Amino acid sequence: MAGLSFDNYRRNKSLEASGVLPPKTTSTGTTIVGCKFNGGVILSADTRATAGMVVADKNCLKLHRLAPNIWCAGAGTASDNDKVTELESSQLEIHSQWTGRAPRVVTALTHLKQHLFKYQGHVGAYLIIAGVDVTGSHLFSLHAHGSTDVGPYLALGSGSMAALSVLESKWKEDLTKEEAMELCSEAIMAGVFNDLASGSNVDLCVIEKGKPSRLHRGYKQPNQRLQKQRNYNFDIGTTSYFEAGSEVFYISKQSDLETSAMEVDQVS
Amino acid sequence: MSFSNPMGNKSQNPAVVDINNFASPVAQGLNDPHPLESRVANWKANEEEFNLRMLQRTQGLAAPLRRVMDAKIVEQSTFVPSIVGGPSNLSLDILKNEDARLDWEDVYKTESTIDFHQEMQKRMGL
Repeated sequence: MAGLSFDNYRRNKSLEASGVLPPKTTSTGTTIVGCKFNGGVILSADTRATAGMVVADKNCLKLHRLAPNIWCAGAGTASDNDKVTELESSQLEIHSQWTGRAPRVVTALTHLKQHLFKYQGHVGAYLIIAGVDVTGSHLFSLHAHGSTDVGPYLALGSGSMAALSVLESKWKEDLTKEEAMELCSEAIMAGVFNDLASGSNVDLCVIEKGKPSRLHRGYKQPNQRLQKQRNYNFDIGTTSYFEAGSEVFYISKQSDLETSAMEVDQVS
Repeated sequence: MSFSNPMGNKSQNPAVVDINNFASPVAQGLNDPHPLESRVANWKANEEEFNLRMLQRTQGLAAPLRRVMDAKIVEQSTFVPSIVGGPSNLSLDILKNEDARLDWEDVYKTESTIDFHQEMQKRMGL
């Protein structure tokens, strides 16, 4: 059968029946926000990929391009987000060639919500979709079960409460582009610093009417790794060693010491 | 009335092993399927059934009948062997409004396990 395969589900069931313990659910976490301003929309996201207790990626990209004028930010299962947005991006391209018009944001939203509803939330994509088209600028959020929401500012993911606290208190109507960029990055930073499952940098994408969309990768980098205070490189000669002549301990050449240096921790 | 088998799409219930469909593994249709599996397998058929029923209500019985007829004619008069990319059928896709639609089925395709002669024999009823 073409399409998503359910074969492994049966395999896992029979493995469980034979006593193999299934892996526990991995928790995921993200902060993503979107915000409208006078003349366009902004999407912003943190860059931490969480897999349970482990930070799987410190600088991953959660902003996806659906079309030149439509972008989306994804929370939930990272792979599902990647693949669903890839599919929708292709679908929008085909659809816009078929209709002979630039794609609209509602088209992307409707396709995606119908697709996700079909899979009943098993495709774990929680998206904020933003873009500009002939009808103006739009901002939508979409949950994995297919429900959608509209608003002037939106936040999703485990850090959404932290982000919303900033948006709720500082958002006002008719923001300028610079104000909105500042507001979005501040909202993401609230998630970065207050939500354990969000972290690292702030990515930001500005979509404006009549201008090419601009992705600011690493717009804010509040968690740059500092130089380690100490290093483990020892000067040659730190430890005394036997000179040539000893048959038991024999390190005489300078090059022997240099090649062994690669085994110690290097600080770049 | 019922539009069973509309637009030539077989309702695929994974609880029943379809021995005519060589591409489907026998493991399918055995115990404990994923709750989504039958839902996804029957999705297109249900959607078409629903659309035809709507058409019957708004435009009368002639409209869905004609659609089903058109689809049947196109389906039966076109044959693309699976070895050269079948069972894709552009004319049928246009009738079903699927020529500009994309889904996982278009991305994750199964390799054809049936060889050309088997396919021909099956088609000719040998």
